[in-house]
Amino acid sequence: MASETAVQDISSAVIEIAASVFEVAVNELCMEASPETLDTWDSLNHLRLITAIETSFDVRLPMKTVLAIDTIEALVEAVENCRGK
Amino acid sequence: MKFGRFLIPPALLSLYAWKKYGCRISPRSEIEWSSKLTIGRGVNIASFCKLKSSAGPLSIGAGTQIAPFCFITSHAGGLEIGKDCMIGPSATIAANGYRYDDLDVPIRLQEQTSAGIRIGDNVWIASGCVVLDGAEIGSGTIVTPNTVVSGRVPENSVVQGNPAKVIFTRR
Repeated sequence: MASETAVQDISSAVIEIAASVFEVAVNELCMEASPETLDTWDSLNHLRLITAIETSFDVRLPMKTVLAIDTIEALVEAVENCRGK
Repeated sequence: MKFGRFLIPPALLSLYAWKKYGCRISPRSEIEWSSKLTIGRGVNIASFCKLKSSAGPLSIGAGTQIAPFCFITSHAGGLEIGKDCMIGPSATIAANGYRYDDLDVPIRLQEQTSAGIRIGDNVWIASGCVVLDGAEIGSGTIVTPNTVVSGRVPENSVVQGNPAKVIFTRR
């Protein structure tokens, strides 16, 4: 139960940060949001998002993971994995 | 490879640079072949680039590629471009400026300044970027299109904007 709450916290925090980076409203973003569904998710904003997430959660994602992330869900997973280590 | 000033057609210089040093220098580029110019092996300079080196040392490391329409000028402070760099189309790298502290004298007639520019190895400067005098770009850095760099950029950064800001660090 506690871990589910933690995951929800991470998800909502990631969505908030992503909304700020992509300059969209929080309610426009869902876990399935991706570069295909979001006009402002380009290669540079992708890097900005990763940097913002890393700063916010005090983690450092491996480069392969950074390049593999293609949805908000994948980003949340990557943050969870990184924090779990 | 160092050059003196020659009154030789550009096509012959390009051929010489290619045969002797493996450099591909377009005869349609405009290069001041001064004694202050040093070009490493395998450098590629595309058409319509302008390189000025008569006012200060300009060195370009081996394997560096310079795309069309770039303007690169050195001055007293020097301009160093490392090895294996990529400089995209229409980039400007200018290692000089002007004083502007005398309101009574046109800026163009005031003294020129030059702190120099240092660009490390394996730097990718994308199209339309401007690198100003005093800039230092660390090795492995990516300068995204239309960025203006005037200060120090750490190694392995990805920078964007005017003035350039680090948006990501390569790892």
